[in-house]
Amino acid sequence: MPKVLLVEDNEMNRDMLSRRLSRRGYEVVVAVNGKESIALASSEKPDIILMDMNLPIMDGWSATQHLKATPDTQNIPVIALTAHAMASDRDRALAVGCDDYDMKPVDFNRLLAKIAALLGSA
Amino acid sequence: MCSLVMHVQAVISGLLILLGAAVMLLSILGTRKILRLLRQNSYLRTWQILFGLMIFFLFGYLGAFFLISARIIQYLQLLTGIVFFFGAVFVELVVRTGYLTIQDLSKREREAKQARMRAEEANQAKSIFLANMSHELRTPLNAIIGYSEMLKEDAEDQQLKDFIPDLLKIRGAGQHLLNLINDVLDLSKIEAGQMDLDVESFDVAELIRDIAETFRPLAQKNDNHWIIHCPEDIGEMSTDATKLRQSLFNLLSNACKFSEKGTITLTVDRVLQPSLRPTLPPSEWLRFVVSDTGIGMTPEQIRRLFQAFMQADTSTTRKYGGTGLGLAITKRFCEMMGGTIQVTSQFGKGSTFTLELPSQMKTRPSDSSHCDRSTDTNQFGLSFPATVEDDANVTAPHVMLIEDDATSRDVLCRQLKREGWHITEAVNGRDALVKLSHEHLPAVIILDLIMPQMDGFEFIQQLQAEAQWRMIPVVVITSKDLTQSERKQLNGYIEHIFQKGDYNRRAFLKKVRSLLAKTIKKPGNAYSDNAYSQ
Repeated sequence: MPKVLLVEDNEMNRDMLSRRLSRRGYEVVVAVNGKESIALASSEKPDIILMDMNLPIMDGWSATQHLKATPDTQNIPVIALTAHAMASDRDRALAVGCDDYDMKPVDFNRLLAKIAALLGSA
Repeated sequence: MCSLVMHVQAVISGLLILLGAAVMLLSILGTRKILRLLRQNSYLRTWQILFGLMIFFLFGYLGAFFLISARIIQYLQLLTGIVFFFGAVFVELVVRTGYLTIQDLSKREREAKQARMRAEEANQAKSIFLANMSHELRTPLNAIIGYSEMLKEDAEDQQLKDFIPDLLKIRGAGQHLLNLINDVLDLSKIEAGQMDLDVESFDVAELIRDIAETFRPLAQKNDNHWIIHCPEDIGEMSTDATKLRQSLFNLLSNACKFSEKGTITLTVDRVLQPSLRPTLPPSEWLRFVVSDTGIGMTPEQIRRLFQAFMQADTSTTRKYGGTGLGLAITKRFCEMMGGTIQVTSQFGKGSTFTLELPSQMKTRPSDSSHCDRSTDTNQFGLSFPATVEDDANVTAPHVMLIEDDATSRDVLCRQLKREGWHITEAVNGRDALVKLSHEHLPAVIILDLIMPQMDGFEFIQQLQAEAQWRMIPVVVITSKDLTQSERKQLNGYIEHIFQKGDYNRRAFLKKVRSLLAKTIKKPGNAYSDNAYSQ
């Protein structure tokens, strides 16, 4: 059963996404900020990380950079989730090392396809 | 007795000379003040004139002083005193007037600069607000759409069939709101001039295949038949693929929405458009035609079609939904990519939208140092869409004159009218923008720089933000001595600068005439080279 680390500060979105992912057979671990995501990434060893970019304490951009710079976690694929509809966000997400990018509101089936693609290739 | 008279004369003239000298001293002090102001504001020309005047008077005084010391004629002493005194008073007057004028001018310039800064700040604030707003709106929407999808799945699992349509309605409304936010965001980004083009080369047939794939389920919804004519070997084009895709998708989903059990056709082909200048070869364009067999539109509906928040009529919104922004965005995208969009329609029979884009889109250099004079400017030679009444094209060439000073405006206006041109007068940049959006577009704009409310610099920025206006050549007439950075700011956006009080009227009229000749040949093609000289 693939393990997903969901990093999201908004309670409703976190609850919704984690429940929907569990229904599809994923084991879900949640983090509410960038700092927590780094700790959980090394302790829980998830198969994939879904990272919101707008986070308190440490935002998703620096968290991803940190994850990708750490040998322990750098091979875990990261999908950036941002609510900004700016084209520049996509480039920025890829620049900090994200493996894919999706825009909120999340089209759940599209997100599932992206997760499946990254897990398949990993 | 005689010696007494002479004595009195000598005393009076001496007194006058002393008084004159005192006034002179005041003038010199005043002049220094002017010089300080002038250095700050670079009114160098005025400074030179005043300086010349000062030198002239100084020599006059030296001459008078020589006469006095040589005692050539006794009476001359008195005369000299009088001349000296009034001369000095005159200089003092000139200096005072100059000082006040310049103080006023620099104050006005400062105000204009402040207004410009305020406008920029407001614009910045607006963009930040929009970016934040879209974030704030999307987050709850995310939850609405997500939970309604979850509940729908639950309902399906638990056989609660009655709930499903209502849950789908919530989801649909959320999706609609999301589309609306996306459209409003797009439109405001375009209006704020922040929508960037991402030009790339791509295979047209591949793009069309891709669109067809995404579009198939939508087409089938109203039992529409869906046909594509696109030669496999149509080749590449270079433009913003995302915006082209969005434009085509807008047109196609409109076609679907307004047709039932009909046929929707997308035809793509290459066309040659003759160049503006006969010496250049015709340019290659791509033509995308979307036609449907739907409800069609009346001429009145077509007229309002491309305006934001306007569907053919308000009852359409109730029946067919939609934001009413799709076509406004599509039209602006087309213009940004240097192309046109046109529509023909028969009420009750269907509509045909024709989108034409240059095969090789060239971005206009924003920096003058990269200005490529050989750029084929015909790429920007837009013909206005059918919705703009071309028959309103007045027979006399149309010139817009923007000048705040009533006297200068009157003089210029008369000169221009004598040439037989039709003149629209505006008193500042804002006034001009209002007139541009309500009246037929002029073939040439004559612009003053220092004006209240909206100055020439800001006006040019606004002009650049609108694709239709960007093409209009601008000639500047100003009394301002431009600084290097101001020149740079204007460079590339204007045709010529004429210095007020220092330009040749005939040269000015000749310039306007030649610009008119260039643009009138083909109405709407008002863009010309970035020729800039002083």
